[in-house]
Amino acid sequence: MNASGRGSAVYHQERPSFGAPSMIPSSRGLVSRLSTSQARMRVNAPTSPWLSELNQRFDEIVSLPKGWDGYSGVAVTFTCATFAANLLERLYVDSVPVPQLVPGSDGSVQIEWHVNGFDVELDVLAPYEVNAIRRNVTTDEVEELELQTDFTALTGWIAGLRMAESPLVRMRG
Amino acid sequence: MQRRPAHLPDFARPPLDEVVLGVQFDQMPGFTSVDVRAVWDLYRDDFPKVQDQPLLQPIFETFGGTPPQQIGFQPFFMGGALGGVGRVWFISEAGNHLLQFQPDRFLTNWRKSPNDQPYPRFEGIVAAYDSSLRKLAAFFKDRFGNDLRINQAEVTYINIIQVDSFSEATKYFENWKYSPPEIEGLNITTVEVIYNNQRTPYARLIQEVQSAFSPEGKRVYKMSLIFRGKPEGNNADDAMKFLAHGREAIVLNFRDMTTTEAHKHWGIEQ
Repeated sequence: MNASGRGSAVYHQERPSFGAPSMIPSSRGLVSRLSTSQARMRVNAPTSPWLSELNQRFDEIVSLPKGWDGYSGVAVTFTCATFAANLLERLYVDSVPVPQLVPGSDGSVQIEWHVNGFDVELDVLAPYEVNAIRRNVTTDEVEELELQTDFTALTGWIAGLRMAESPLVRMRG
Repeated sequence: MQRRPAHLPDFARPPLDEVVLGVQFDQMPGFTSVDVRAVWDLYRDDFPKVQDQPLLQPIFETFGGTPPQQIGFQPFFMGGALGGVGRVWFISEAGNHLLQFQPDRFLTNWRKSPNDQPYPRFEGIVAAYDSSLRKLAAFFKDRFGNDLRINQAEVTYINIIQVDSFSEATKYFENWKYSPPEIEGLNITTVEVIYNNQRTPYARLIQEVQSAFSPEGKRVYKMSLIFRGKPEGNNADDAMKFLAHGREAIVLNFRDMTTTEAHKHWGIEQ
């Protein structure tokens, strides 16, 4: 959706433009005319089951009261949570279970999987500031990465968590 | 003021309709809606009008894994979003220059309409924006004791190309070879990944061409070029370097995407 409330017919994303929204897309083929019963609101919904599952948890961790950890802990910042959600959407692999979200007392958030013989933890300290760690539970071998924009290295880690039949797959059954 | 790089093409009559420059930053702890008035006071002399607008969601350009189906994916949880503070426009008296502020974004827009003022060129727009951004950073430091930590920046150029028929695409766009007698609608989007010298992806250049009708009912192609990503560092200097680089990429892309015939029509000077 852009500043005038009209969204692009191609894909919806926030647009800070203030002039061009007055243009009306010409192609009727881009937005199908549906009867009222068929009409659907097109929204910026995430596409992966992970985020659908984690929506409520994200709401919880960005709404934590000050001192939630018994000390001076603050809620996960909206910026940090949004970046973590963006990252999860990019890393989604079918049949890998939904990760846990663990708030940090400094406003950061940790994304964790403990499955299939591995512990994978992504510590999202700030946008473009992610410390990643993978531990092989059997061998105790530990790998660590510091990542900013490119998360290609994590795709192999996440694929390694794939299970023959994860709880998510069973649930969607 | 920055100088226009000599290798960039220049046009006497560019079809440019709007330029947007902006940064996204980590929300300032403690910022509340009460502080918005103090932010407006920083710019009020040049931007005397104010308007409330809906919040822009954060966008992050990340790489690797599976690209989300929607470019610039946005999450849907909203709890605690920016402390409930919305977005405001600070608008110039003439109505074609504005600043946009919300607790994690600061942008400036210049547009040709409503009064067809001369295009101040990128150098003029970015100099004014640089000054405004530094004022904001100083305000945050003074009031909240924290530095402005910029996490992303963007440049957008929106061109409006008036045509008699949407079948004229071959006259304007270099790679468009298909020309049936009647095209009712046209929509092209390409997304290019931009790498730094270390071969690390850090930005995207999004090119969109869409057929549209102007408010006067005239046929136009709306051509948007967006350069968005992570500056090398988090301060205003880094953001300005990113914006200059983005502008350069956009202008060169515009030249490469459009035809020699169109360049003549727009008065190419180099």
